[in-house]
Amino acid sequence: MKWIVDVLKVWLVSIKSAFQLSYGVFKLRHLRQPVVAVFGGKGAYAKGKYAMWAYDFSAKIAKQGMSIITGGGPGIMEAANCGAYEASKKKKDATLGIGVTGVDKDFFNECAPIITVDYFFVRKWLLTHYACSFVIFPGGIGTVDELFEALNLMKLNKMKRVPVILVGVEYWHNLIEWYKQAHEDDFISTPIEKALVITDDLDEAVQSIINFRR
Amino acid sequence: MMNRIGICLSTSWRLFKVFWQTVYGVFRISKLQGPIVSIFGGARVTGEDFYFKKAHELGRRLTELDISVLTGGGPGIMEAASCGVAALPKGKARIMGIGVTDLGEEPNKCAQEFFALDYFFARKWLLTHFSSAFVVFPGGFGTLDELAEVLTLIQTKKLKRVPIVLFGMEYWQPFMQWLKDEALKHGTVSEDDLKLFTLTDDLEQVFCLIRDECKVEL
Repeated sequence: MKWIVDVLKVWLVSIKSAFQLSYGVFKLRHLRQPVVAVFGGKGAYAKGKYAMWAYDFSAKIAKQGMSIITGGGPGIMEAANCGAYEASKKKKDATLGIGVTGVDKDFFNECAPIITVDYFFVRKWLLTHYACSFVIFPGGIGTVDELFEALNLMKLNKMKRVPVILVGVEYWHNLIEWYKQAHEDDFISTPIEKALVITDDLDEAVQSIINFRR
Repeated sequence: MMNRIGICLSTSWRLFKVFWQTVYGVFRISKLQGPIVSIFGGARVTGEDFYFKKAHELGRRLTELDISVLTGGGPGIMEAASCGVAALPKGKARIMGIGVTDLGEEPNKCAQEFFALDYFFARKWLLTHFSSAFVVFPGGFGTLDELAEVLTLIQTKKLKRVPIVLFGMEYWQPFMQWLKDEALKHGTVSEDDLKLFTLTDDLEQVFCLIRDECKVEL
C-alpha cells in the first residue's frame, strides 16, 4: 500500500508545479521577445570581474531589443538582471528572474521582478524552453547542470538548437579539457566547436546571437 | 493576450500528460523491492570496455545484496548494469529502465521492467527521488546533466543526502580538476559541496558506501 502514499505525494507535486509552470510561462511571454537566458554562479562574485562582464553583456543585449532571464539569485544573475534593467528604456518587460523557494532565502534581487517556484525542474524548464540562446558565465554545479541539460536536450532533438555561449575561457578551461577527452574516448559524439561557442569577447557573443536570429 | 492564454493552455495539457506518466512511473517503481540504487552512465560504451564490465559486475553484486537498480533504460552502461542484474533471476523485478520516447534508442534487452516517458525532466525526477545511492559511470551530456542535477538538489537540501559515487578516476579527473582549481578558487562551490561525492576506481569501495546508506546486513 506504500505506492498509494507515493502516488498521492506525486499528485501534490504535479498540481503545484503545474500551476507554477503555467504562471511562469504567462510571465515569460510578457517579456520582450526574443529572450536570452543568462546562467552563472551566485558565489563570491558580487563585484568581481565576471559579474561586471555579465552586467555589460546584458546591457548590450537590452540595447539590441532583447530581454534577459536569469535564475533570480545574487552574483552573476543579479548583475545580468541589473544590466538589462538599467540599459533599457521600457523597464517593465526588460528582464525577469526565476528563483526557487527555500534555498538560502537569497532569491532577492534589486533590479528585476522575481517569481519563485517550488521545484528545480520547473525553473529549469522555464529557463531553457523559452530562450533563443544560452549564455553561461562562470558558476558552480548548478550552472553546469543547466549547461548540460541544454546540451543534452538539443542533442537529442527534444529542444530546438540554439547557440550556447560559454564566457570565461580561463575559468572553463579544465571543463573544456574534460569535454575534449570525453569526445576522444567517444563518450560524447558532438565535437566541441559544434556544441559551444567559447569566448571572452562580449561583442562576439552578442554578434553570434544576432547572427543566429538571422 | 489571447496568444499568452493559448500558450498557457497548451502547457497545461502537456503537464497533464507528464502528470499521468509520472504517477504511472511511481506505481511501477514501487514494485521494486528493497532499497534502490540509480546507475547513470554513457550510452555509447560497448561490451569490450573496462567500464562496461565493471557496470555489469556492479549490477550482479547489487542483486546479491538484495538491492534494486534503476537506470535510464538505454544501451551502453545502462545495458551493462541491467544485464548484470538480470543474470541472476530471482522471481520479482530487480531492475527497472526508464526511457524517453523518440530518441531512436532501443531499450536494452536486459531491463526486466521498462517504460518510456515523453519528457526528460519527468524521467530525471523519477530516477532521482526514489534512490538511496547514486553510482555515476563515465558518460556524456546526459550523464553529466544527471550528476549535476543530483548534486544541486542535495546541495540546496531539496533531496536528502545520499552517497554519490563517481566511478572511473581517469575519466572524472579533469572534471575534478576544474572543480578544485577554478570553481573552488572563485568561490562558486564550497568545500562542503566537494564532500558530497566520492571518486573511486574500486568496486569494493562502492559497496562499502552503498551499504552504509542502504543498511544491508552482510
